[in-house]
Amino acid sequence: MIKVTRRDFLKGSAAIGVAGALSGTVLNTLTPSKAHATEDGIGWIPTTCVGCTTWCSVDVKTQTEGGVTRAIDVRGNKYSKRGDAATGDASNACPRARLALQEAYDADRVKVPMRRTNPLKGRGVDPGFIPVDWDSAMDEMADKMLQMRAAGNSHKYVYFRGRYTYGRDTLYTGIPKIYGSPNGISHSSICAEAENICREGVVGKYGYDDYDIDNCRCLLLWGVDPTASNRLVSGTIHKLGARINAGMKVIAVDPRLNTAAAKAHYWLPVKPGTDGALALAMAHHILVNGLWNKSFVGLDDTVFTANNNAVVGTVAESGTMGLVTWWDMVLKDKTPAWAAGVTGISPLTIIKVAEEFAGVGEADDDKARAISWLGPGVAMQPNGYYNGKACIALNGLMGSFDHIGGEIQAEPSASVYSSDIPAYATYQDATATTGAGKQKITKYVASGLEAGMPTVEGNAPGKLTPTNRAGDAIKDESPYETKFILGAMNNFVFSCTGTKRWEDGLSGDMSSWSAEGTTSDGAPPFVVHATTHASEFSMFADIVLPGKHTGLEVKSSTHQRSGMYKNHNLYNAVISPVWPDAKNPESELPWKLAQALNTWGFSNLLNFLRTEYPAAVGASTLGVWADSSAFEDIHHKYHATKGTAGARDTLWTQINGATMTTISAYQEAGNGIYQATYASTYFDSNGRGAAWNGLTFGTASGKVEFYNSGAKHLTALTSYKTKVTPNYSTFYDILNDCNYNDVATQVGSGDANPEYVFLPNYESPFYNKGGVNPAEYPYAYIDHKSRLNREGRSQNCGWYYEFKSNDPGDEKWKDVIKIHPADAYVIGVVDGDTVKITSPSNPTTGITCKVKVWNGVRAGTVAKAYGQGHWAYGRNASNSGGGNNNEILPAEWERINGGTARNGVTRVKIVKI
Amino acid sequence: MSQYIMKVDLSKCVGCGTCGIACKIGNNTPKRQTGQTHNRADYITETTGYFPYTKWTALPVQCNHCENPLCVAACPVSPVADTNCVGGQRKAMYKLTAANGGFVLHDDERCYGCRRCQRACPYSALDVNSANAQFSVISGYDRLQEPFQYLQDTTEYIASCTGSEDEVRSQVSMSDLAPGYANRWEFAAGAAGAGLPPTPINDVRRKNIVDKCYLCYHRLNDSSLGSTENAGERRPYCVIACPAAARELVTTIPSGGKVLAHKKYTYLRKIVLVNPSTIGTASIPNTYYVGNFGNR
Repeated sequence: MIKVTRRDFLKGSAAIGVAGALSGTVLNTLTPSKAHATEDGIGWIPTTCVGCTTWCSVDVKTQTEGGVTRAIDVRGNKYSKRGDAATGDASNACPRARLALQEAYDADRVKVPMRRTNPLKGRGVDPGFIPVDWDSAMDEMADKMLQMRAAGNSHKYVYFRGRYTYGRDTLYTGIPKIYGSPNGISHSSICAEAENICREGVVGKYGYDDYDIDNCRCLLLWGVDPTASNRLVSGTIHKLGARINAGMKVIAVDPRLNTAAAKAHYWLPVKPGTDGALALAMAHHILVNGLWNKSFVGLDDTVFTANNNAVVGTVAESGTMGLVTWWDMVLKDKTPAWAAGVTGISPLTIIKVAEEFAGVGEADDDKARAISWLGPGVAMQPNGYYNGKACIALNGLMGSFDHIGGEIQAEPSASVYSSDIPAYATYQDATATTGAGKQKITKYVASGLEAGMPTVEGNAPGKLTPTNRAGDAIKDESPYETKFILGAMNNFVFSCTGTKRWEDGLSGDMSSWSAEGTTSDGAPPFVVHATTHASEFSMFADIVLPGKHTGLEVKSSTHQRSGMYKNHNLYNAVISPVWPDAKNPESELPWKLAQALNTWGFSNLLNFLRTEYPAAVGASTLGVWADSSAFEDIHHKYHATKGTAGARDTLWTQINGATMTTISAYQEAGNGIYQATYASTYFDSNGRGAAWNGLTFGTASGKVEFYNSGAKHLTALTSYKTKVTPNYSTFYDILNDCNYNDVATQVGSGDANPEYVFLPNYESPFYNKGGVNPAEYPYAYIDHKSRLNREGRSQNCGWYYEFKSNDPGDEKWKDVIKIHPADAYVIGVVDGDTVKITSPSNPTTGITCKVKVWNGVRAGTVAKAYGQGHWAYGRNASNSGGGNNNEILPAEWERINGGTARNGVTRVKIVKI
Repeated sequence: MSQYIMKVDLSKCVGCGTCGIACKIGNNTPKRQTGQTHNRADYITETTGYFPYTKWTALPVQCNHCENPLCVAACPVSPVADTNCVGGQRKAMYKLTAANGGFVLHDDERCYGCRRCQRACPYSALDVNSANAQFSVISGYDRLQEPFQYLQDTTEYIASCTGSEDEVRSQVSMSDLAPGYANRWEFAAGAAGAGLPPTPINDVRRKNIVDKCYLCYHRLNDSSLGSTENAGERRPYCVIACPAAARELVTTIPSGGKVLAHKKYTYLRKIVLVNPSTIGTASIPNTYYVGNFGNR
C-alpha cells in the first residue's frame, strides 16, 4: 500500500485536470493508489466514553505516523451487548461520544504545569500564570502540605473530585487518609444523588437502576429525557423509536418540551415542582379503578373509594407494605381533579395516562411491564424526597420493580469488576489518624450535623457529602479554615449553584497564607487544580496541572449498568498524549506528589503506593524514582481487576483479548469490556425476577414499602433528632426546617401523625415559598442539561455550538432563555433580544442571554439549558456569550438527602437590555 | 446499481445530531465561517403548535442527489463527454446515471468557485446567516482564505501555558492544514465502481470551490470496506453513525415517503414535507422521509 499525502494527491489531481480536458474515461488510470482504513497504522482501539455516567464502551479509530498516534474517529464498541447486535457500533455512541475528539485536540488545553504569579485572587483578576515544571510544582505542594502537617493542620487539606473513574480511590481516600485529612469530597451530590434517596425510601436501594426498555409496555418519564441526558442515553436513543413503533407508549412529564416529550404519546407539562401531585392522582385513579397488579400487591378485594378510607377485603397485601395506610392518609382525596388544580394538567389527561400506565385489561405480568422512571428533574428539588417517592412508588403498584419490562433492581448475576483501594491503615501515622478523624468541611457546623440538613443515606444521618456545602465552608471558614485544596477534573465554582459563595471563598490575597496557626490567616486556600482546561476553578488556583484526557489518554476503568448488562470498561491510553506534560490525575499525580513528599521526609504515601498496588497484582515493588507511567500501569490493572494476583492476570488477559471470551453462560470478556447479564433462571417465565418472587428488596421488610414503621429512614431521622445540636424534639420541626412545610403540617406539631414522615406525598414547590413576591419575580425557572454537555467539559468544542439546536427550542451558536409567547409579550421581547435574568439570590448582577419565544413551556415558566456562560475554560467557551444558570440559582438542597436542588428552586425576573 | 435514495425514518429519529457531527469527522469539513456551515449533513428543527399542543420536530438533511438537479444545470464549467453521467456530459457539478448510483458529485479540480450551483440549489443558501437559514446543502469556500486557515492560529489562551491551534497540529504531526483529528487517507474509485469517474474526495478541503455531500461515494465504492455495497462500512457515514438506525440507503422509493419542499416554501428553516409529485420537474429530491417524528 502506498501512503498518499495531500501533496501527492494534489499532484495527481493536477494531472487529472489536464487529462480531463482531453477525455473523460482516461481519468481512472490516474487515480491515486488508495490508502484506507485497513492500511498499516490504522486501528480501532476500545476505550470508554465519559460523556455521561452511562460510560458506554466505544472504539476509537487511530492513525499512527512517525511514532505519533492520533484519534481520528469514535464509534460505539460493537461488542458491547448493551447495544443492538445488528447495529451495535452505532447504538453505543450518542452524539456526545464524538466530541471527545475536539476535547482532546482542543488548542486551549493546559499543556504544562502553570503557577500563579498574582497573589490576588478573584473573578476577573488575571492570575498571571507562568509555566513551571512538574518537579517544582510538586515540591511546592509537598512543602506546603508538610508544613500544614507539622502544624497539626493536615485536616485543612481538601480534595475535590469532579469526573472520576474507578481509579478514583488513591486521590479520594489514599492521600487524605495517609496524609491526615477527612476531606475527600466528591461531586456526586450536585449530580443526581437525590434520586437515590427516593428509591431507597420505597424499595430500599440507594443507587441507580437499570430499565428494561426492550420489553417495556409503557414508559413514564418524570423530569428526565433519557435520549439526551441522565443515563442510558445511547441505548435509549437506539431503542425509543423502534419500541414506540412496536407499541410501547411513552408519557413524558416535564414542564419543558424535551425530546422524549416530543416523541411521546403524552406530554404532561406540569407546573415545575408539582410532579408529586400528578403521581398521587395517578395512584389514586389506579386504586379506585382496581387497576393495580394484584399478583404483586395483593389486596385483590380491597375497595378504594375516593374520599373514603379503604375497605379492606380478605386478600392480604403481599409484595408491598402499607398501601392501605398510604391510601387512607394520603391518596384518598388526591383525585385527578385535585391534581389538575395543582399541576395544570387536565383531569381527563391524568385519568388517561393513569390508565395507559396501568394497562387497563392487561394481565398482571403485562401490567408490570411499565416503568415509572424518576429523573433528577423531580428529585433534585427542595421538595424532591416526597414527590420523588410518589413517582417511584407507581412502580410498586404495577409490580414492575425487578420485573421484565420494568425497573430492574438487581445487579446481573456475575460480579467481577474493580477493586477498591488496598488496605492503608498500616501506613497511617498518628498525625494521619488524628487528621483523618476530624469532621469533613461539608459538615458545615462544629457539631458535625447541621440543623435542617439530615443528609440521610440508609439508616444513618450525616452520611452524604453535600458537595455544595464546601462553598460555604471555605467562605465562612467553618467548621474550620480550608488551607489547601487539590481539585481534579472539577469546576465547582461554575458547576455548583450559588456560584458567588465559591468565588468569594476562593478570592482574596494569598500574601498572608500560612500553613500554621489555629486561627484564620486571612488568606484564601492554596489551590492546586489538575484539569484539561483552565476552567473557572483554575482561575483561583495557585498551581494548575495539565491532566490527560479521560477516555483518550488515561488508563483506567469504570463499570455501569445499562440495557440489562453490566459493563466493566477499560479506558485505554488510545493516543499519544497531545501534551507530554499532561498526567493522569488519578494515578500519576498521586505518584508524583508521593515522590515529592518522600523527598521532603514523608515517605508513608510513597511506600503505600509502591508496595501495596504492585503486590496485589504480582509485580515487584516500584523503585522510589520510578516513572509515574509505571505506577499508572499497575494502578490501572489493580483497579480494573480483583482477587488474587493470578485471578487478576486471568481477568486482565480476558478483558484485553481481541476477541470475546465466554467465561460463563452470562459473562464474557474481550475487546476492552467485561460484560455480565442475568442468569436465565433469574427471571421466571412470567418475567418476575428473583427479588420480585422472593420479596428480597433492600427494604427492612424485603417488600416495596409505601409505609413501614421500621424503615431505614425512620432510623436515620430518629437518630438525627438527638444527634444534631440543638436536638430536635419532633419530626415536625425537622420537616419544617427541611422545607417540607406541607408534609410537616400533615404530621402535625408534636408529631400527631408521624406516619406522614415516611409516606410518599406531595410537597408544593420551593419557589412559591419563602415570601418571594411573584409580582417582582414572575417566572418559575427551569434548568435543564444541554444535550451535548459532556458533563460540563465540552463547552470549548466548536461542534457544541454548531449542533446546539438538538436541544428543543435552542438555537445554534446561542444561549437562549425559552419564554412562552404571552410572557414575551408582557416582557416586551421578541426572538433574539438580549435579556438580563435576576433572581432573589442574585437580584443585581444576574446573567444575560438571548430570548427564544417558544411554546414548549407554559406561561409563567421559563427554561434555559445549563452549559454556557463561561468566563474561562477556553476561547469558544468564554466568548460564546450567555449565562451560567448556577449564578442565579440559590444554593439550596433536597435537605433530607443533601443533593443540590437545581429545579423548582427559584423564580426569576426578566428584563430586556 | 441504481439510483440511491436516502430513506430517513422520522419515527426512529430523535434529533440528536450524531449524523451531522459524524459527517464532519468522516469528511473533514471545517468549522462554520463566512456564512457557510460546511455541514454536509445537518438538520432542521422546528417547533409548531400552541402550548400544550406543542410539537418539536427534527429533520435530518443532506444533499438530496436530485433528479434533474438545478445545481448541475447551473454549473458553467465546460462539459466533457462522459457516458457515466446523466446527459453524457460532465461538468464540475455532475450527476451520475442511475446505473452508476445517481450520485450528484462535484469535481474539485474543475470548480472555480462561482457558486452558481449554490445559488441555484433549492436547498442551499449563499449565506446562511443573512438568509437566516438552518442549513445549506452546498457551502462555498472563500476565494482567498484556506478553509482551515484558522488552524494556523498561533495565539494562546493563556500565554505559554495553554496550546494554540498551530501547536496542536505540530504536536500530532499534522503537516497538512487540517484538524488534529482529521483522517489522513484517501479513498479511490475502487473495484466495485469500475469504469466510474475518480472519487472526487480530498481529505483536506480547499479554497475557492464549493463543497457538499457526496453520499459518501468513496465509501460505497471502496470494496476493501466490505464485499456488499451499502452494507456495513460501505455505507454513507451518517447512515453508519446514526444511533437510532433512522437512516437507510435504499434503491426504491419508500412507500408513502415524502420529500422536503424547495426553499421557496421552507426558507431553509421550516419543515414542509410534500409528495414528490408536487415538486415539479427540476431538482426532485432523492431523500425520502417516512414515519412521524412525534406521536401526538
